[in-house]
Amino acid sequence: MKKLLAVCLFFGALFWVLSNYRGLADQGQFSSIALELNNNSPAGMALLKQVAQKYDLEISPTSNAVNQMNVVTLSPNSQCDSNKQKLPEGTVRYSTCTRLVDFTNEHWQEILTAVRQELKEYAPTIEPNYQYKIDFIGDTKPNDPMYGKQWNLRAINIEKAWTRTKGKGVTVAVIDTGVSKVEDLQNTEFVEGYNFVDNNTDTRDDQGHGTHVAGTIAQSTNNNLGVAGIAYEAKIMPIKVLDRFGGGTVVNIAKGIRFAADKGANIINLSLGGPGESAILKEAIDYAYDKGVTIVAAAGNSDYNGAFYPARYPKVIGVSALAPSGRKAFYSNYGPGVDISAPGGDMKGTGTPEDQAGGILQNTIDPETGKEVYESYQGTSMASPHVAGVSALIYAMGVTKPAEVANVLQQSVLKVEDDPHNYYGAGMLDANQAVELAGKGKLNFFDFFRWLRDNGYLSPRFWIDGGLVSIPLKILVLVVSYLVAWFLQNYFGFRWNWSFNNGVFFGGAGLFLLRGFYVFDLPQFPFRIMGSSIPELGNVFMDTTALNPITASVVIPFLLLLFLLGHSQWKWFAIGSAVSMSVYLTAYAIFAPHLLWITDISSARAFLMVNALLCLGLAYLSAKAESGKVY
Amino acid sequence: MTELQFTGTVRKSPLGAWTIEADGGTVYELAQPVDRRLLQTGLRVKLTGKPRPDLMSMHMVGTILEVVHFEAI
Repeated sequence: MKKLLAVCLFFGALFWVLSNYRGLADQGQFSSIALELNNNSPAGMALLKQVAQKYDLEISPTSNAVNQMNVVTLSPNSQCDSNKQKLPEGTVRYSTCTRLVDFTNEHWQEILTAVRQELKEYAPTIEPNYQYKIDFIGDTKPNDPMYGKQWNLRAINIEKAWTRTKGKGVTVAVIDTGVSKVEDLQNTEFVEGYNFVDNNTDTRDDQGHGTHVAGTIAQSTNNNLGVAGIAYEAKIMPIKVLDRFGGGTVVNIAKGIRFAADKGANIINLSLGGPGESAILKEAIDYAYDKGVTIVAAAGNSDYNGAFYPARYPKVIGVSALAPSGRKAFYSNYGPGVDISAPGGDMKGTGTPEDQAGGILQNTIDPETGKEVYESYQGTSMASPHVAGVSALIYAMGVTKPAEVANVLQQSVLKVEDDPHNYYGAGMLDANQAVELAGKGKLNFFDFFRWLRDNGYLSPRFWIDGGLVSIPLKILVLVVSYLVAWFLQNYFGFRWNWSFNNGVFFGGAGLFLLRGFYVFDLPQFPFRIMGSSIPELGNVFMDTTALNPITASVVIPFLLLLFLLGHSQWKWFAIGSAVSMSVYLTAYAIFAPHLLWITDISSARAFLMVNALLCLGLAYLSAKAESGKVY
Repeated sequence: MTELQFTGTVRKSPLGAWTIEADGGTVYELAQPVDRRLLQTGLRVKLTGKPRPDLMSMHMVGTILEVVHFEAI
């Protein structure tokens, strides 16, 4: 009984560790070395100074508390680093007192080895002073302190979307009152825009509106400051066409649109408009659209039946505004020309904190004083940049044509069933569904990475203890299984789901690192069973790597499908296992055709190949039959 | 476009734009800059103005009207 309990506890702990392992997200880098010196030995200190000088390092006590323990750090000489430059890939170049040194990781390793060698007598502990840096990988809250007030970002499901993309490589033109580089836009990339009001390149904002809009699109995020933005790795192209009162001529707006299209903007946001049509504006929009630019515009704020122009044009994605409740905001235009809805805020204007909480909070400037503020705004002007930001995410996923971007936006919405007046267009914006849909049909590195991580393949244990199993073959099976699964997924259009994922995994690989585990006083066979893929189950107790033809055949997938096809979740496990078993058997037919009882290589090969084909056929037929019901 | 003459009420919209609502119900956004004496919520005026369809704004509350002349009533 005790043993059983121990086994259960062990597996529990193991799965907990594997499922919590964040994989390559933790990258230990160091830019200083920590030493613990023996009792203030003068000889040791003298030697330390010599070494430090040799490598242009500076000795500093880490802190008073630690200093009592004789712990010091060696870091690049800060007195001579006036020309410190940031170079790519984490390297920092220092102009030291004597020369220019690139402190690359290799250089640090070199220093570490030398310091260890020279000081081993005086310092028992010499270690890299690791700086742990965890990349923000999404699916969790960013560390921006006021993120909690951004109900609008949670409403569009942004956290999950960030696991796939943050809009890198996409340029969004903000055609507005200009954009000022406020503190919470410091990490956001800008490309040069233009000021059509004053005809110069000073695109700073003198109103506050454009900076607020740019903030929704790409506010610097996870920077421990202020608030978050949607596509914060995208670039902003600030184009000023509205004056300090927020008005501008149609001619300048049209010029701004053409400028953006010519200068390589991928998305244009127009949080502006009016009730009247304009041929000049329409031509500019056609021009940009034909150049492949996705154009998003606000529907207008007069609670009027019909979006204003330019939102009303068919080539522009017209956006109506939602209140925090998810209903149309009181001011938002609706009806013809509204293509989609997004959070725009709903405030009565009483100025109380409760009322402010209903607005969209971003970092901008106060038009009266020019000072930076975090301010809640409301309007379809605020709704439009939500859609522009998500368009940038879609673009970053590889869907680039304006018609296709619009299509993805509209197909991925949260639909509103009863909408007789077209308050919501296709429905409510959903960033996560949008990037998922945009990523469909494209082999996304992230999917694969997440899959590896979720299954423990990025665990160091896998690489250390997996030696007993044929790792390259396993990896090959996994990669190919994943590709086949991906083809089936796109061919039939069913959704990648947990059960299917696990089916692929257990069919082709199993938790194979477990096979090599040996824990004193624990029976080993559970590890061997857990560590086996389905085809390997037959040889678990026989202590051989030759496959058992009963388990290494179509029999198990067939039985699994027979029994599980009626179950909504588990059938995907069965289909997934058939896919990867097919790949597994093919791989073993080619590389390692060893079977129990069938000793002849060509017969074994033929047996495995036939069964592989049968498995694939089984997976194909069942996926075909089931896919219609899921998606 | 021809000038319009009407009586109406000046208001600041909840989203911050200065507007005039004609007694017939049509809402215009006042083109800026404008005589600051006009900018009082609830002010009743007799107004002459020129619609400016060549202008657009971030407020998006209605056609922009350039005020030619007004008198409080």
